[in-house]
Amino acid sequence: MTSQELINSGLLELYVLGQLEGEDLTTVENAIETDSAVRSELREIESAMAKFAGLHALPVDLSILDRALDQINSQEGQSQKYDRSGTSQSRSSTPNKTVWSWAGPLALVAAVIAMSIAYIQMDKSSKLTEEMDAIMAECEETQNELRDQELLYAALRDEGNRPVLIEATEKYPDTKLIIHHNEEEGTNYLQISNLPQLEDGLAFQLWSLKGSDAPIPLTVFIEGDNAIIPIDYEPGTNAYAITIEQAGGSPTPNLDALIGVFSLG
Amino acid sequence: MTHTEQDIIDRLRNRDQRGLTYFYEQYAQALMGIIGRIIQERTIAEEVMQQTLLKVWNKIDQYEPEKSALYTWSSVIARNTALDKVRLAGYKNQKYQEDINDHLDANSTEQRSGDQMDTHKLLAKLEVKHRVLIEKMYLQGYSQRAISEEMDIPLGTVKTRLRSAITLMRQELKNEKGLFIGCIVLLAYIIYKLVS
Repeated sequence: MTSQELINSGLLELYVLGQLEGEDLTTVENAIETDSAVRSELREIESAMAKFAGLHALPVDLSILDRALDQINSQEGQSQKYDRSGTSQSRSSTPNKTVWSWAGPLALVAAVIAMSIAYIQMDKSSKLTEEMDAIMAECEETQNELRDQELLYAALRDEGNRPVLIEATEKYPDTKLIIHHNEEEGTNYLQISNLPQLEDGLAFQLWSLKGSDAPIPLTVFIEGDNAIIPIDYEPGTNAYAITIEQAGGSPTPNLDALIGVFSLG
Repeated sequence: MTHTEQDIIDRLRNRDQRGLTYFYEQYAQALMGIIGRIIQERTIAEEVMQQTLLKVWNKIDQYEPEKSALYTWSSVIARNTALDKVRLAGYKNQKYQEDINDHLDANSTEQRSGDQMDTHKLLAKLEVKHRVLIEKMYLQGYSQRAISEEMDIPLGTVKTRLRSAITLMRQELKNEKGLFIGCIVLLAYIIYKLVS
């Protein structure tokens, strides 16, 4: 069969329709491979039929493609699916698996960030708690001080309070101290206005003097000027004295360092 | 976006699923035109379309570009898959129905470009016996023998009439293309004369 005979036979049209088999199919396939005229004619027929098909085209749902791709992924055991969301006809209503494939790592990152933030917040919270505890302790201390001050002023305003000015010795003439003595309440407060400077390792010590008895060692303190402090009360005391002693106090007074005497007489 | 046939083939052979997406964008509506005329139940037609896509994907290594265009090859797959479905389900190969035809034409009109509308006009110039033959064999998957029996014509006549029908259609397409090119040349000539 010549090229023209083959072209005129109608076999090429049937070939395009997929309706050839056996000897006819072999004849056409061989001619396509070897004969450019036949090949050219075939392309013309194909082109015409493609246009004809385009004329009779029917709308298609993109979900068909999604299902096909799902099936392909399933048969090929692929865990990740090609994301066709960037294509011009993307209108898929099915979940985007690529997005979901990112969801795991994203969730992990989010969890790590959340845990880090939580840790930082907990650390901050812990520091804030410590700060708050310190402030609370400070407040409590201030409250105690205030309470002490209130008690002090209450004691000083008490009707039984008796201020006694110190009789300073010649060695410490500038000393100004007052004992607020309350025999009814059994309390003593020392109001310090001016005291000698203490050297390191020394302290002031209060003594109770009762007639010819040996001095009784009482409160040891190191407070400076402008303070009012509670001191020991010794019943039956005739006079109190203050000396400078070794830090921690002494059992017997150092008379060389006698600052002054309060006579309750 | 239009992708070249070679690009689609290369992607399909490289197992790049974008190849199937581009294939779908380019050919799915035309293939559905064939499937939908063989199987008029939409859900089953869509199922066949899906099977066709899978066959294209799985058999792309068997495709020989020198023997046919990609669309021709896939249209044979689509047609045979639809016919297999009809045989499997025991469907009767339904005849071309006028109401379905109207429905399909209405749908396809929305899809047509201006060029396709021209093609439609061209087809209207074909004799009914030629147009029906093409539609039955190309779109509805009728075999030569089935056409021979239904149209009561010898088997050999089916072949030559199909040849005539397609040749006439090609001729009309060429004429239309020539007319279009002629119009462009004439327009260019008029513009040239006006300028000079």
